[in-house]
Amino acid sequence: MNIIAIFKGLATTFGYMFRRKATIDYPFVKRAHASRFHGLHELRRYEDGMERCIGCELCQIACPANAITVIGAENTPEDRHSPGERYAFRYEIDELRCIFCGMCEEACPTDAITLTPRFEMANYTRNSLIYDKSKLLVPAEYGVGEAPHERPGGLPADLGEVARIKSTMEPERGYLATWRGIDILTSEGKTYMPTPAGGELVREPEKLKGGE
Amino acid sequence: MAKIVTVTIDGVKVEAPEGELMIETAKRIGHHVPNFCYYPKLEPAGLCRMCLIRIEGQPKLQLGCNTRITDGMAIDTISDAVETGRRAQVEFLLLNHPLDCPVCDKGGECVLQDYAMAYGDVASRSGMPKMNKPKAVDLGPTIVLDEQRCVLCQRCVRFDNEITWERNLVTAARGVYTIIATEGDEPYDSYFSGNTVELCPVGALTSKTYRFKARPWDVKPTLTTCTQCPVGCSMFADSRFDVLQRTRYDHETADPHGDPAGDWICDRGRYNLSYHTDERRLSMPMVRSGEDQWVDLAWSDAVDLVAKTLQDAAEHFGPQSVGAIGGGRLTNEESYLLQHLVRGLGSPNLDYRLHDELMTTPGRLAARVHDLDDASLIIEVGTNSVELAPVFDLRVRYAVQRRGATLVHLGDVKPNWPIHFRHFPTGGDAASLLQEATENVRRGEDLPKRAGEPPTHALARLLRGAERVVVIWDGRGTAEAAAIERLVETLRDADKGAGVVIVGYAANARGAEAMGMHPALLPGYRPAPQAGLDTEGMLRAAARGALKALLICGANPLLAYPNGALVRAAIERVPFIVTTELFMTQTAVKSHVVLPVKSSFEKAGSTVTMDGEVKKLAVSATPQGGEPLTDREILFMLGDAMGIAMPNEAELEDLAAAAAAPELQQPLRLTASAFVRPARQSVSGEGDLTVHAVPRLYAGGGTSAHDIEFEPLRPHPSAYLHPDEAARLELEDGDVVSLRNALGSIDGLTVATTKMVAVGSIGVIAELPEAPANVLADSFGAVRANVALVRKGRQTANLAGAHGE
Repeated sequence: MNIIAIFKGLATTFGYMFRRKATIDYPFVKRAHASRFHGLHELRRYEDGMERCIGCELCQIACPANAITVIGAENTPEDRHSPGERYAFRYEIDELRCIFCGMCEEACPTDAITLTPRFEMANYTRNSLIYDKSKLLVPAEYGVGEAPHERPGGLPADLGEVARIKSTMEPERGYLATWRGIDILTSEGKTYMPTPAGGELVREPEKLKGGE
Repeated sequence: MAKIVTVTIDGVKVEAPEGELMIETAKRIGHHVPNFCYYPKLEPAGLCRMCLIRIEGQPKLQLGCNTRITDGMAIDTISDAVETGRRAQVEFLLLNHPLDCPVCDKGGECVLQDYAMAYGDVASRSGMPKMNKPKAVDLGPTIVLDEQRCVLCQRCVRFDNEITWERNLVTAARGVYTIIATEGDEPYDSYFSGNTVELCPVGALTSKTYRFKARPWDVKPTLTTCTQCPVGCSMFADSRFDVLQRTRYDHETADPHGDPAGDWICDRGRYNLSYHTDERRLSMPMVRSGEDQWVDLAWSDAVDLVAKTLQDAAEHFGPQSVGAIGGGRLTNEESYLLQHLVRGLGSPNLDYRLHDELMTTPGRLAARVHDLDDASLIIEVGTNSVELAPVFDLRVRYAVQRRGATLVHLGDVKPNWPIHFRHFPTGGDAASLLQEATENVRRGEDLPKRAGEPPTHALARLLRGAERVVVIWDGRGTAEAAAIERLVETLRDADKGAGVVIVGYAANARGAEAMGMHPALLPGYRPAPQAGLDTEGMLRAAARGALKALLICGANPLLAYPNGALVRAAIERVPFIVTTELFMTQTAVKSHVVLPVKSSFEKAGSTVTMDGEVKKLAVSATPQGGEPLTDREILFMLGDAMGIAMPNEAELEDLAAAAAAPELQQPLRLTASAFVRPARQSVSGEGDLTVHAVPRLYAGGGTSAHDIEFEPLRPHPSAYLHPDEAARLELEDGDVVSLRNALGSIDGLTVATTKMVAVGSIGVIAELPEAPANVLADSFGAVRANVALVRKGRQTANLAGAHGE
């Protein structure tokens, strides 16, 4: 009797041995995220390089974890950061306090702050995880949308449109977005992922479905 | 008292005085009627049309802020018709209102936002583009106006017309194009401009110093008391990250229906704030080593050094060789400790008085500030309440304009009143004018009005015709004290109301006096067993070399003391001067040990206002960097180091409160021996012109001189000349002149012609570090000097504050 039980057990073991593995070879391979995954923040710009953020502090007051600090200041013709009168002189997110709930994204009246699917921010000091504008703001060439310089009230024309783009900085980079197994937002049918060495692993999307 | 009538509001019967505004009657049952233009302290205007209500029997909706109740009225403030009306009105107001809320300074405390939530539709029905009125219009040195956001309630215009009477703000253009503008496009230059920002129900008026710094929900409000002038206004200090962001007038504890001219704050209290974070602020105790060399010290070493030196001086040269000046800028508790410490050393040499004033407590002749409201004659002697006590001055203006009081000024330089007043030039001798007028009143002489009569007759006639008289005085001059006492007693004997208000020169001068920072008075105005030297006595002793150690707490005698020659000679000769200061002021630079202190927003305590009221200071900010301590902490440490028994914190508060009790002031007389000083020479020195030091609200060598954001408001060195005098000297507005006599010279003065000063006189701003007026003086009255043209120029003369002329 006992011997049969042993073989039964081993059958389960061997059965799993030849099945597809549940684990993946992270960090060389990364699992696809849900399309609404909330990761590291990014502050967006307009096409002309102007910051979208107007320093209104609505993200700060919406934040349930008190992770955001914004201090506004006035734009001057010589030192213009954003369309309109006000810009964020200081913008800081304490990523250690952040619970990645996305309330800041929802509160933002100009689609400036977004949560990208990037999630790898581990570091050695607490201080390095307080992200200021130098870390959050996308480079000037990654701006999207027309800056509302002339529009009354300073409302961007593409309000709500850009919210669908999870990152304007290399939108295809850094994550795989799938929804019920269907990849979205991949460029040229390929998905790029950064490696710790800085190189790129290029994978065919279909191979990655459901992990490896 | 008005008759009490009964009205029905929303089905509830309410009893209220007849003639009350409906908006107020509705408040009695807790029904809020939305409004923009209505403000209890301003006259009803009915401009925004938001407060629509329905009165039974009237076909159309009426204005709640503009209609007064009569007996038996039935009013609806909640009904479909009213709701529809308000909805339409909000839609109308939002038609051209920009969607600025996220960047608007008012966003979060905006009335229009609240009403848009309550009555507004989600989307505009208008297909037209919004009108673009000018944005960020520079109205003046303090205010930026956003015309797009304005709802044209005219609260600001009405404040400027009805409360300050300066009439700077107007509405321009018509209909939908109406904008708020300034009269003649002049900059909006008023000592009260900041109040309009708070009155604005939307974000149209913004403060230059607060623009975009914080949102309303960021700031932590603290109720405290302003210490920039003797008025002692209650205000909220709003801070963020423990840094002061703005101050606001007290709209919570103050009675909204109280005195319309009260409870505002002036622009010095509102905009002179960023000195807290100024990088020139002292951070560590310092000791002088060499001419301009300073060495930082640890607090323990600094306290040991000061304690030991003071004790040594008292031991070797006698306690009389130690003195203390200051207290006008300290809290009551600190003043108490200071006198306790110095008296504990055995020295009676203490004084808070820096301007040669005799006293700041009017004692038994005191009038309260609210006595102005029903005064029929207000006589200002010597002082200039426009510059020295601005919010108090609003009450003077109110009494004159609304209550029909007559305003008289006795002095050499006319104040910049925007209202009508009678000026009696005194030539430095107001006392004899008052005395003669008083004697006239006493004799009961009938003096018919005739042309060319002496000013005493005109003054006597005014006094005889007046029922209630308030004298506003600066506390200077023994002869003036006697004349005012005689006048007030004469009027009181004749069963008329009369009293004196003293406008002091320092914020807590009255508190310092009550705490015994006075050579002849102990705390609570008790006479001291042994009278010490007053400020003048100490300085004269110092100039002789008899004063060996001087403790200066929160005072800048080198800039403020009128007798410049004396104070300079004295400060040079004292071997050891300790100063507690925020900045390297003129006096701090000349002292030997400088101790950094916390400002009035960074410490708690109590202060006595010029009205005799005890008010609290609360901590609303913390120093950013450095190790400043409060004067209280420093004095405690010094007391411990010297082995003087000091009261503990709780005892100290009780002692200070007891000494400030109002009933203790009652027996004081203006001519009491503690206050008597030898008569002063009215004019001294050689020269063409008589120089008068004109006080200006924004002058000073401490907080106003070390504040980058306040810098644009500070007055430039100016020479005020009568136009005729300027013509005689062939000078024009904008010319740069210097003023010199045998004692010294002040340079870089820009000529400004004004009828404030008489022919033969020249006015220079008092206590301006760039051009200290006391350089020319070796006496206490006016001095004479010659004017010399340095450069012809048409650069803009600084006439800021010269509204009345």
